Amino acid sequence: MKFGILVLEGPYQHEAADSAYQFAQAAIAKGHTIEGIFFYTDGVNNVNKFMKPPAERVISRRWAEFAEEHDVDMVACVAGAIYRGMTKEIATEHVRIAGLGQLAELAQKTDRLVSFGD
Amino acid sequence: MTENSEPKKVMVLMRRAPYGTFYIFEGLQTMLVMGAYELDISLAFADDGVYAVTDGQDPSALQMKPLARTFRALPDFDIDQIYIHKDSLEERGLTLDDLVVEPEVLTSEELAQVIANQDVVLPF
Repeated sequence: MKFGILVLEGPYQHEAADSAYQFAQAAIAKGHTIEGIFFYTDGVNNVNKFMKPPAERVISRRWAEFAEEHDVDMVACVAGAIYRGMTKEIATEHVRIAGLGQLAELAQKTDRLVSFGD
Repeated sequence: MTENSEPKKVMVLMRRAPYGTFYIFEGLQTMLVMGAYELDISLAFADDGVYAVTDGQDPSALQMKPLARTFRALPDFDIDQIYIHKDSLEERGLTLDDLVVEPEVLTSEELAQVIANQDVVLPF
């Protein structure tokens, strides 16, 4: 099955940010494909490459490695990014900053679009 | 669209009061863009989401943008599948006369059926 993933909450605040990652890993382990990850609203903060939690999972690096390993398209919403000061220079590698149209395309081309939020 | 398949049926489900979180504003943006991409958009209000479309909103003291004006303009965006949850309205002492939109009022069972018929449900 082809999945799209929508992340609506920020890192280290809400379990949704971690659940999205765990779901994506589990889906691939089961032989499904992840067509894309769309980070929206506070979700855009998940791709800040400067986050440095001491002796902890690094959420942005984890996503970057996931995208690298599985060739997954990751998009941070441009409006959400502008609101929160997230720029290309701050975003981790393998992340594009693009519009909500990318979410529309993800909805159209996947079998399931799974939302992770509150 | 990148695929030649039929447009997906996408519901934006508004569940929150309009200004306590940014969710309703973001749901509105999502809905407008999805509509521009010619997906088959519907909109539903349930729980505190019914407050998003009440008349007389003035969030100026909060320095936030009023949302009701955009909801009122939905027919201009060809968004005409608008639903509202009957119990959520009644529990809050609201009637259709209090709203800036003219939604179809659905019971819990009817709303569940409409949701089940969607390809994608985006909760806000």
